[in-house]
Amino acid sequence: MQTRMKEYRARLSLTQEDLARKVGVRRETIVFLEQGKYNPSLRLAHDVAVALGAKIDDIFIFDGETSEPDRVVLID
Amino acid sequence: MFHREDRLPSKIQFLLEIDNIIYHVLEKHNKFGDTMKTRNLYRIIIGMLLTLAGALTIVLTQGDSIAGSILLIAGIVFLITGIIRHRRYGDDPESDERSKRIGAYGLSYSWFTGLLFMTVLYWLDYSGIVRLETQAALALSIIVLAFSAVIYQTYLFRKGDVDEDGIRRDDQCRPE
Repeated sequence: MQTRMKEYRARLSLTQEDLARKVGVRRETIVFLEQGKYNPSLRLAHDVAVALGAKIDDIFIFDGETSEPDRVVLID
Repeated sequence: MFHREDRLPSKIQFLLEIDNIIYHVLEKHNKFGDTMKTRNLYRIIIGMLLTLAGALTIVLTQGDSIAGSILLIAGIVFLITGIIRHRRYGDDPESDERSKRIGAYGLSYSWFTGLLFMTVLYWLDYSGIVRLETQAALALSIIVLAFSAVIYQTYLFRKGDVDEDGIRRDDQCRPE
């Protein structure tokens, strides 16, 4: 898993500690989340996304996926 | 100038002073400059009371009673835990979903290790290879359970998560 937490956090000028306090977790959890080593619960992923002003899909990217949504082809 | 505290008995004033001193010393040492959690304050107060009771018991019984040592050790543990936790976490959460998950997994691995250890111990004793007294067998089991829990939890905390590589996806579950 890859995350774009660091990028979004930098945009908001938040430190890891600030973000940890915002979402109510320990700073180490944010560190491991940013490294893609921790699999968060849906609740935590949602809280992080809200704190960073983004969608869950924008922040957390699974292996073999891109941050862009799949293109849908409509057939008549 | 008249203060409300002037009406309080001197003993209570003295205790309030001690409480204020401890509070400010600990607050000063906290790296976040946060106020102390009530839980940690209670830990420290209980620790001080137990330490005091232990010291008094040892003095009064002239070291004959084991209760004094137990109280003293328990008090010191409470005191140290309260101070360290306050200085380390301040107002921040001491546990979150990751620490709870790792804690639970660590304990469950430790339980399984303990079960294996006791099974091996039983068969060694049954086959006459090793002969252990009940006390020694129990002590060994306690040590294995306690140490393995600490080792598993430390390992998982360093690793980051209980899974192999953070998020594992089962390819078979992927939608077509």
